[in-house]
Amino acid sequence: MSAKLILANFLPALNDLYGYLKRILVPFLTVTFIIYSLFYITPGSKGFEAELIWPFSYLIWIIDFFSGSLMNQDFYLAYFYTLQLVAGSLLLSALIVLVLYFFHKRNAGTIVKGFERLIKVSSGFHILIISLIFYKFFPHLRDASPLHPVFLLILAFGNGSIAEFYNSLEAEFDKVFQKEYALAAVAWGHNVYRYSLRETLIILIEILNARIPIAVSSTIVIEWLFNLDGLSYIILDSIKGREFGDLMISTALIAFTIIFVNVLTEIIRNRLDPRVRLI
Amino acid sequence: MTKKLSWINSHRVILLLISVFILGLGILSILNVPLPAYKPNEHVTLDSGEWSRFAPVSWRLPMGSDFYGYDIFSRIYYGLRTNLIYSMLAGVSFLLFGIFLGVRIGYYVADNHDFQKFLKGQIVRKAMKIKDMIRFFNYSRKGSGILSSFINVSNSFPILLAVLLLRVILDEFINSSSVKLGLSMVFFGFISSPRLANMIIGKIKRLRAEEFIQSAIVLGLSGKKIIFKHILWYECRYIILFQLAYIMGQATILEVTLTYFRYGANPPWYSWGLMLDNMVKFSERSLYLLFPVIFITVVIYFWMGLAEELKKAGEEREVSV
Repeated sequence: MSAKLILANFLPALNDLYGYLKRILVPFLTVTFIIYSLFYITPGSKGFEAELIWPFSYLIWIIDFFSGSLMNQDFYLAYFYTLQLVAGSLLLSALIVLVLYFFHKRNAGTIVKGFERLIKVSSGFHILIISLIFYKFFPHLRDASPLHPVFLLILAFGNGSIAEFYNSLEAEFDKVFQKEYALAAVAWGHNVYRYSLRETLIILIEILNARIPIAVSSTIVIEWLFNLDGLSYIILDSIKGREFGDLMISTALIAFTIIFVNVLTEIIRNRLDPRVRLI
Repeated sequence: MTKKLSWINSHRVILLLISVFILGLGILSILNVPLPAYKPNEHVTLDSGEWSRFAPVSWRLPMGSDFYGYDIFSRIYYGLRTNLIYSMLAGVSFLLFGIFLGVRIGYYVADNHDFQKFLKGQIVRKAMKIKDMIRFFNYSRKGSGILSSFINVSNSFPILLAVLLLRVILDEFINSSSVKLGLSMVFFGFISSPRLANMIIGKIKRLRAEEFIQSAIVLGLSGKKIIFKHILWYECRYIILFQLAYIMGQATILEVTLTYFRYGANPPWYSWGLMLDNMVKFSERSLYLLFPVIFITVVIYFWMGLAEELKKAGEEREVSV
């Protein structure tokens, strides 16, 4: 019996952990290795003054990255700020969309329809333009903290983000509420939201997970314009200064976060949806 | 009896008017028709020979002039040309890669048996031939697995960051800013293509079991004809066009953002991203500098609205079928 079989049969929790670690590490190492190699062969790359040649220098780099010796306090703070911005904007959009969808299902009055129209029209709002208008006409925002509600609103509405969120959520939720068990719950006079809570929660988490890369892209614009000390600011700054070392660390941190959240979403889905466990 | 326009219909009428306006202006600008009175790099001058800064709106200057005495309409007009050409580059690469990936994975995935046979006997001999290696990647499950993992990776990495990283590397090898922007847009189309590929794969897998495809195979129609005519054109055209319109909108956003960050087009190409910078600096002195903002919003809204309408049309067609 192989070690893998023993692990799967006798230590299922450890086997799951091994599977999740594999799903985090393999894509992360692949992505960072490709980016490192591209930077390494680029002439004029600063921050790669390693004693060993490629690909051994990558091994040293990745060990240093995980040991934390590559990053100073600024990196951790910047990472924390960017995480706050991304998570805050996604939660705000989720809140707006859920409230609107709830009112839409209850009673689609003029105000609700008006908000829906606003959200659809917001697909034309370029995040750069909204940010520039706020930058120009509200100068006090230039020194504001990253969690200022205006930044979260800009991130939520910019580039049609909330419109896409609302469209996908509406389409998926409508499918759930058309299922037989939901219709049966309505027919029996039960609260349909209670019965479909688990399934709708899974959908919501999956949509939020899919929107993280888009939110990170948007933070690049916001952080640069309003001088927020986030990770995206470091990225643009290091691109302008050709500091490839800093750029590599920031990119690796973002890649790690996205891959980690992907796996976390999978774990939550497995916990919430019993059908997945049966398979 | 007068019939009142419903909200949806009026929305469609507005979108149609915007479409005619943007497309008409875009075609004229791509054909280089000199519609504005001034060239984008030509200063509007007073009789005294000085630059006419912040000139008011007139027939010759429909949007006034900016701080440097340039005609704003002229810059918007030629900026539209730049924007459409680079967006089309992204759109074409998106279509090519998306259709290639979708068709290869969806239609040409061979049985597991073929892959095992391939592995058993002929790895060494076939691996020597490049053509067969390409076939191996195209037809085998292993190949489709690699392509599927590409889809997963590209879906989970920030696109703007990926384009910026490419730009950093290109800076060291290429001097021309327009070539660099062009390559960035092609790359953007390439990494966005899994969106289209995923949809085509789903559609093809569903359609392969349908009777009309089986009849076409029995009748002896070629694979190309079945794929391009019966599947892609008759069944997937709304999906493809909807995705294309969406990507054109995203490409517009990307082009403006890159140009604003000084990674975009430089003269002789004129871009809206550079005009936004002027808006920040001088909009207190002239509100005409807000015209580019309105124009960019309208263009993005046009692409996104078009995408939504095409999506609805596709869904309506599926329901009616």
